[in-house]
Amino acid sequence: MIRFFQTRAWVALALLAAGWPVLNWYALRLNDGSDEPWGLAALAAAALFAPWRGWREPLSPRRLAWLCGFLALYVVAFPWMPPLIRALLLVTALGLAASDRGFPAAWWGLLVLSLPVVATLQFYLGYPLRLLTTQLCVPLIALGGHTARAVGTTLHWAGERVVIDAPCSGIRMLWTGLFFAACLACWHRLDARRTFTLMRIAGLALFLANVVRATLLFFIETGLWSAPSGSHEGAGLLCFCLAAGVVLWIGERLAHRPHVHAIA
Amino acid sequence: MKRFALLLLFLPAVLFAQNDDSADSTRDKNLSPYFWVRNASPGADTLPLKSTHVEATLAGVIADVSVTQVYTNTGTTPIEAIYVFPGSTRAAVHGLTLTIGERRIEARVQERQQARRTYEAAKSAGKTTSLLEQQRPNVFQMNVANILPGDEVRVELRYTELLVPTDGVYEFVYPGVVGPRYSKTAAANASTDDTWVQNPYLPTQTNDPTAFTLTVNCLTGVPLREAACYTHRTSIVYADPSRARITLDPSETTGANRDFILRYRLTGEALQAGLLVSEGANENFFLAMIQPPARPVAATLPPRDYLFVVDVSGSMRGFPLQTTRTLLRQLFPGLRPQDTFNVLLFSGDSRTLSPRSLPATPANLEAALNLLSGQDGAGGTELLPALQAAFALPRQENLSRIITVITDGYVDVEAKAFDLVRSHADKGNVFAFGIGSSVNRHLIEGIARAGQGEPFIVTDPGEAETVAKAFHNYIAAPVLTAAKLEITGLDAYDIEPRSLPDVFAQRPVIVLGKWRGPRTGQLTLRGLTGAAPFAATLDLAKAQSISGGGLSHLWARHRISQLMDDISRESTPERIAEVTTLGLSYNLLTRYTSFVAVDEIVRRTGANLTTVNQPVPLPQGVAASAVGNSGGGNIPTSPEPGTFALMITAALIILIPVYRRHRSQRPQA
Repeated sequence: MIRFFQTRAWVALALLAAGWPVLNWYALRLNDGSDEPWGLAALAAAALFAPWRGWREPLSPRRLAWLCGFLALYVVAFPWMPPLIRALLLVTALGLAASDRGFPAAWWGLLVLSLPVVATLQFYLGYPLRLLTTQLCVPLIALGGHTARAVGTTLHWAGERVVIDAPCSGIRMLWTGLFFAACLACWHRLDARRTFTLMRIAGLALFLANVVRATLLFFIETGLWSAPSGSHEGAGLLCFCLAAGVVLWIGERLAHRPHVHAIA
Repeated sequence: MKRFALLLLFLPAVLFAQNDDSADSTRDKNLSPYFWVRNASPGADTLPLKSTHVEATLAGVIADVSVTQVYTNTGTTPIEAIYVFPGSTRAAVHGLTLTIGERRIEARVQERQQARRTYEAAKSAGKTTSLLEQQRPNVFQMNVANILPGDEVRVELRYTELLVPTDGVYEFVYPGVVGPRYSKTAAANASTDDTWVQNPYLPTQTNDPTAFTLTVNCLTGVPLREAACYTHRTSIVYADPSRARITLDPSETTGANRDFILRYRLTGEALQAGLLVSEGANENFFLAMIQPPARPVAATLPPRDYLFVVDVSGSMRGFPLQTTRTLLRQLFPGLRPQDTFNVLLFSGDSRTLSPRSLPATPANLEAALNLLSGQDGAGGTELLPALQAAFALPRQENLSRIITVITDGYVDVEAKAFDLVRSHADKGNVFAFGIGSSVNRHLIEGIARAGQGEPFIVTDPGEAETVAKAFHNYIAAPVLTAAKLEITGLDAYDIEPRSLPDVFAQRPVIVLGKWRGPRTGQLTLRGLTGAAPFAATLDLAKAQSISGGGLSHLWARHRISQLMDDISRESTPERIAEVTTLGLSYNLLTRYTSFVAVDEIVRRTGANLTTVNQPVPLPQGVAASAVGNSGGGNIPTSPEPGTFALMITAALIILIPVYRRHRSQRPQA
């Protein structure tokens, strides 16, 4: 009986029960329309790639100690932490409970992406990303032989203006690209170190892809390039494909390096 | 491989999420105007209004106006045309005629919901029908359903309004276009009375294809002088010194993008009428126009605290903001060092020149002008928070405050603004300046009325000096205070207005009413001009009698205005019922009564009917940035692809390694 209460399955269930306020909040957020409900896709992928094997095995005392620490942090943080941070603590605890060997970073990444993070990212990260994107567009436009000026998040050229507003921040591409990278890491069973390497490269590639996308659209919007209708979407998808291709290639290279730890 | 096959099974869930997302975007959308998109409805004529002709007759102090709109369907499918257009704030709309070919149908006035039901039933039955609704006292919506391909449908509406001279100048205004309104009302929750705010506007580079012609016949009875139109090129032909015909020059092809304003004086400063009467079978009406005294000279004007509340939103970009600067440059020299002042700028938020009022020294006034010079005009028009902030600003003890609101008035919260101003009547007199070529006069006049001030309209920078001078004159010495009307020897009742406000402008005091019995007695206006008593008497026996329903319409229109002011303070079923009854009894368009005309011939038998919202031009001088978040403005953006498309792309890319692995695992031949 004692042995049962030490199994990973029991610990995970206990964590979920302890985290019912987070689950309740999650359900409410899914339905209140304040964020895109694409987290469900990440949740489905997390269910698919869950490290199912070994759930009946007991957790090592060292891992249990880690978990207790996290739970204590969760309890202390609960009254004053925003719900999203509480949810992050809970999914991290779930990640710790899911494996006794290393940290299942890719699976944890999927759980994190399943949270309603897009609106929050847009709020906190959106403007800096737009600002950086606008600044980096200027040299790319110069490569095309035109001199544009970045004023805040607006590109000025010959009396025309193209604004890099909130829907241009690249947050959607970033979320989808990281979701893609996390699925790839799960598929290749990358260990935590390589998963984080892949995620970092994916983040950079997606950001640069957004800069290229914004530059292409600058040329289209100012009329410097004539483009058919639908070219906005097409240019965006093309840039995303390029970034995803880089992620795919890096993921495969990381997978074929020796000493890859299995996570499931 | 199995895992990825399962992952692909989640795509329907993704699709479901996408649909849910689109529903959310509708729910979160606010009412806002948008730019018209060519060919948005294939097969339908998306510009069905082909022409508007205005015919006005100015006889004495009463203007009779008819507006004829011609709708033609050059498309291939039957359409319902919806057209939002402005009207005079003083218009008493009393008639509507629908003409299809040789058939002429006179519209009936019905209770608003009933009229809408009549219209919808006729529309569904395939009958050509039109519905005229009042969305604001100066905004009307015409609906014409079942205009078949090749049809020409003419709709004529008729209204009467009173022309009241100010400083001896008569002004006839025909508003050309409704400016784009800033609204925060959620589209999903908006009442049907507010959905007109979602009006399409022609992109700035598109010319208005609707022809606009206008003719004014002046029949003053007294020789005219200084008749001129400063807003449009016109030709004026005199049949004799007291009869003139003013027509719009054919070169005015975009004449409907601004107010048409005609001004004139009468020889000898003679005021038309003193007392007009109209005797009917059931009711008799009178209209008294009593000339106010000459403006007193202010001996010592006590110090004042001025607060300028200036709109710097997107719709004020360019000419309106430039005119505002000119206006303030003209107003500021009239402030004396013992006066204090402050400036509150507002758009999406508001900020002040100083937390407290400053002495009106040259340095402080220059700082205020510099603050305004830094404004380009951007963002929303949060008028209500700005007014609240203005009323909350501390003021100098023992100084009476003059609040001047300067805006184009492109908001949809008129009633709330009036209520807010009225509920802060103790905070000072509120004067409202409307800046622009197509100002929302309902808002400007309403704020001034609620704040016991005066409205001013400035249509171009050249008028700024005159208006600033008038403002200072009004403030320095009101023409008449403590005004009241005494009626002797006449059984008069239902007098409008119920109480007389202070008179700032050199303008006749207008009183409308009914009487019973013989036409005898006197009306005496009493009050104070400066510190001296004033009295002026009109004798009913000497009144000029006029025929027709003009006076009854004007009386009912005034009564309805008063009731609507009461309703904006507190809406009660009794007040609404009274307005409805007045509309039905006097055949008037009101907020609660509409005109509906139905051709009884069933003309459409097919199921398809496309609803077309007639796009209108942006008012002259208004920047495209006034059309909110339409995305059709002059500033393009570069939105990233939708998440759904990205997910599909990601799913397709991830199939590449899956396929490669699958192929490498196949046994070699």
